[in-house]
Amino acid sequence: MDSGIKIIIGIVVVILLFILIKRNRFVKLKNSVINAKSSIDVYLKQRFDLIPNLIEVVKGYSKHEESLFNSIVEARNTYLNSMSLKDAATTNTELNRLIALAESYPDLKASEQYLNLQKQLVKCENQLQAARRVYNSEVEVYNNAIMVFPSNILAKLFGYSSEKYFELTNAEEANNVEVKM
Amino acid sequence: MDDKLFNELKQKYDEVLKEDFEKYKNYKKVGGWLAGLIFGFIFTIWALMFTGISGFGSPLIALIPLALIVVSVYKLISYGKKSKGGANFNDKYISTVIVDLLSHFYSDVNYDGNIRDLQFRKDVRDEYNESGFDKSYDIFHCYSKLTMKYNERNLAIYDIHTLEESTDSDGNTTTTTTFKGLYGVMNLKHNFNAEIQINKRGFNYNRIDKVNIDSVNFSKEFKVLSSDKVLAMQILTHDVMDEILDLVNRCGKIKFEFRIVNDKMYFRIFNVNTFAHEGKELMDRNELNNDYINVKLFKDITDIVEKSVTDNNIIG
Repeated sequence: MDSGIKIIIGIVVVILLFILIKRNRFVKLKNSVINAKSSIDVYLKQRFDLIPNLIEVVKGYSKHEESLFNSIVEARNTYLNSMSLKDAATTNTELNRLIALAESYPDLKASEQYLNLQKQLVKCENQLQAARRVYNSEVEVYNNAIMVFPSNILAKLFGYSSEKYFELTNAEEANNVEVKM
Repeated sequence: MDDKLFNELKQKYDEVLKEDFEKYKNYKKVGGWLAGLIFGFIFTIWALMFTGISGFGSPLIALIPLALIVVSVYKLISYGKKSKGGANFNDKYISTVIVDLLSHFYSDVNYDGNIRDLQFRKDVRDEYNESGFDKSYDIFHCYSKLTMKYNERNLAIYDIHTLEESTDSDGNTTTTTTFKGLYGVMNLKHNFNAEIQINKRGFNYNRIDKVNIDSVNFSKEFKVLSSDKVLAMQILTHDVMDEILDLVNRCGKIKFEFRIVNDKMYFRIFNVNTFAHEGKELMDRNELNNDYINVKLFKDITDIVEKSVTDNNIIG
């Protein structure tokens, strides 16, 4: 075979291998992002599953906050249906309002039931924080991989687009109420 | 290591080990003169053969290595007598000075000097393999094993040297060190039901996932892998990573790695000298200071990890 043709075939094989390797890397990184996102969903759900118990405990001390109780239940249900981070942020804001309310009742704060719930909330929050860090790190690696040249050309070709970082969406959440033990 | 501790050890052991140290110095000299004797023989034979075969030079050239033989024999006889018992000095040194040093951080410290026993060496090798740190070695040496307790938990520290053999196409075998330093195993208060590795940077094949750490400085020193990424991030908060880096800097940029596997923590500290005495003086300040830093590191890392577990309510 003509050596020129061999060279061309060799170059084509190398390019195809490069494309294959890059594509597989995009797939792996994208899956890591999806996996990390699902971890956040798990911990968010765990945190929000504490809401019914928290409402019951707070209700015993403050019967006049029906609107708050209703709004938090509604937010939680919305999140469970959509599983979107935006709805999670809304539910989180409502939960923090509930916690702030509980903090204003000294008898409630000292009760064993509330203390147990607080401990679980703190644990969930720590897990959630760690899950957010994992997610954001995976997103960073993925975004870097699909944005650098010449991988960005292949990424566009295969339909890979950048992912958003997990961020808090409003000022209320940014001033998250500290759950004190 | 502060002056108070060093002076305390010096006061306790300077006189006690003085005589043994002298015998040990003579014992080391015996080794040197033995080498001189062997080389003397080799060079004498070579000199005689060279002048005989080539006809070049005078056989009197063999007088030089012959003189080396004579001096070596004289020195061997003289030091040989004074070195009796010197071979056991390191056992005594470790079981007194090093055990005393360790007792400032740990309780129930014991030195197991039985490293000459084959079954013991096999058991130690199995204990080292348990960590999964080192899979590619061919030769295994353990120079000492010390057991102790830290907050009622068992800790064992070993002096290890592993080597890999490779043979080239000409049939020449070379050995390369894969690990030389201290290896430790500590039982933890909690069972994490996961594996987290904080390895020093470099290539190492592992079956568990890499964790992309969100700290540039920490990532420069360590590579983190874990079967549970969220757990790894829970333990390695930014404060914890800063504490570990601070520890590395305080210990003179020491190279170490550790891994948590369920309810055990495994450590390795690289390129540190053995606990055996290597200094020029009996109570060598530099040597003891290095031993102090190394033994304290196990405790310091465990404290950092366990504080993180408690502060972040990770287990329980």
